[in-house]
Amino acid sequence: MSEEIEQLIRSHAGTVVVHLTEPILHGDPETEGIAAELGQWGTDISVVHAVFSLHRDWARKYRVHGTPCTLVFRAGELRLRAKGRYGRGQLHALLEQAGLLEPL
Amino acid sequence: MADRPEPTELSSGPTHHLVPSFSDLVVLVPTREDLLLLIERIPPWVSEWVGKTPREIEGQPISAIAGEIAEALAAVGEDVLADGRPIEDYCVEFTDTTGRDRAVMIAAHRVENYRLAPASRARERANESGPAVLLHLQDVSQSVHLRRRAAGVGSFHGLIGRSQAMLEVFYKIEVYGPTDAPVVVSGETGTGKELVARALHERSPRRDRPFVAVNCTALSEDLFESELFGHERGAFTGAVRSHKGRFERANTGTLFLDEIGDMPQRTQAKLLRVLEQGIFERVGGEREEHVNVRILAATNLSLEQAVAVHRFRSDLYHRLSVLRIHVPPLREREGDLPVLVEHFLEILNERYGRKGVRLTPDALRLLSEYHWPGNVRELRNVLERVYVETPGQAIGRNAFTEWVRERDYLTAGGWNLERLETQRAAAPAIITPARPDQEYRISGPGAGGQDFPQPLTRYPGSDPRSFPLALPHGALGPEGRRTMDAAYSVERPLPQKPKPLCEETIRRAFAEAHGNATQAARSLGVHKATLYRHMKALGLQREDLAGAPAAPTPTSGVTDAESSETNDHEPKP
Repeated sequence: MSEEIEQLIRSHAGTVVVHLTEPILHGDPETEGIAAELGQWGTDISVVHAVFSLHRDWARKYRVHGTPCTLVFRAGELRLRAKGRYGRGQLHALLEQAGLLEPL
Repeated sequence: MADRPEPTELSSGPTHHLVPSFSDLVVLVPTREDLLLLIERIPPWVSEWVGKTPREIEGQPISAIAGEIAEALAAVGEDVLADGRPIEDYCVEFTDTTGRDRAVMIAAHRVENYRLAPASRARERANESGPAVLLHLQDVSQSVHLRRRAAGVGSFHGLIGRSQAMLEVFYKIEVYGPTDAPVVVSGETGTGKELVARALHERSPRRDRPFVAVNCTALSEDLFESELFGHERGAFTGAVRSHKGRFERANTGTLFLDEIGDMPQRTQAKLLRVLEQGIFERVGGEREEHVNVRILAATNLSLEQAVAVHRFRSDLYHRLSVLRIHVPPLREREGDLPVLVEHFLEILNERYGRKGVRLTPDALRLLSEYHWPGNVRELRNVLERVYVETPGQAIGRNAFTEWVRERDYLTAGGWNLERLETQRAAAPAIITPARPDQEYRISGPGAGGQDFPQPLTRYPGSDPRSFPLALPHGALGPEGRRTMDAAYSVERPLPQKPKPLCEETIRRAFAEAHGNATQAARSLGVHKATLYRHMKALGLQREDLAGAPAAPTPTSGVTDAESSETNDHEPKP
């Protein structure tokens, strides 16, 4: 399963956002709302919603040990790692600031 | 988790940061070469997780310590130190050195000009003043464990569901159950509020004591107090003996007050006293009774609104609403429908002695598109209905045709049985339970409208007056389809519109029934309400008809031709 995420990161030309969460712990409407919106924030963004406990080993590779966490990859490289709870505006600003919402 | 002591100032001077010392605080500082993060301080309960004491690990590089939590703290520390972005509500689950599952909630932020404590073991390798990462840790092992346990169980004290919304409910039951605090369970009708209350009782130390339920809408205001608090002999007319109320019966256990929003105001004051002091008096009694009862209440109304319009006492509201659980409606329980369907079908299989009955994916899709105003109760009843009506093992979409028609009709506004009956007859039904006294022509699939002259079969032991439930075995179409998916159509005669009643007919019916309206209506083959409607239209009073002889036939003044025709068939008095 994690191989599919890895494959997407390597093959997708634009930005890949991997939103790691543990639904039992973070199933609140805001988190879900943000996760649902991520793909609409940029023109070339591919979004993966993943349950952390199913991808624990894969996440560890990127120094992620908990949830929620948003990883942003571009051209196969990790460009941003946002750990913990982020509000809608905060996360949007972060991605924008890092220039990750612009197409390549 | 250990108690938090008061913060203490560890450094002073204009460039030094004020660092509070909390027992949940881990401080990481970089080495002089900025290569590693050292543990400057760690509370004992955190160091225990890696099997060490603070003394053993303070001053050591965090990366040198084995264990998942050390690895997670190191990663968080490095991120925060590198980009300065604080982290909030980051939950890390791990196994400690004793093999126990743990969970910790982390909040971390970077501070500048952090000054090492005078006795800090990090002094050897770190600058005396510089940046640091402060990590506040909160042990959430217990709540995460409860959530995981609830999630692992699809059925929780009779409550079925795996949706996030229901997991929240299960979690709250786990947390609130063992307390003695009152809980208000809110939710729409049919969501299972009483099941939640029972689950709370089961999770409490009172589980072996009585659970007594009272429906506040089911009792009249006069009876309410007596039912709740009991009464003494002679307290009122009919009180021939003393009576224990529900409070006394629930003593040492739990009292569940369903639909508490409908509780009479007078009783609310007494209830408040019991809640506050555990004291009440029986109706007509002079002695104070002491009880130890945990109160659980349920409502499908907004108690806040009831308070606003003075229907519910605000002091009682505040006393009751210590803890709240909202049971979500079925339409908001994403993914729960298939689980519930499976559960109810299992129950029905057991009840009716059948095996392996299931819903087709198409049927399931149909159900999932509905908004379920009656919630789980409605789902259960609908399933039982189609289960009974469907003889085969697979219940298809078409089995729900009649229900869909009825619910659409209901949604469109008004519940008018006469109109519904007409609509039922007019629309092509896939299959309709037949009335035994009516003739049906059933056309089967693939045979160009093959007729089935045999009577519809009944399940063994069923009441012969009841509706037939199954198609006869030998009467199936060539494809042998027996499920409701088979394209059977049933034609039935349109219901006859009842002829209007004339004054004379009504008078005669009353005379024959000796003035009894119910009997008169029955003899006329109409509902009592219909009879009254006709009477009103004709300007007839019941008092005039009670015991009155029937009017003479041709001179009654009735000019309606239809009425005369009707009278021709009736015996003369």
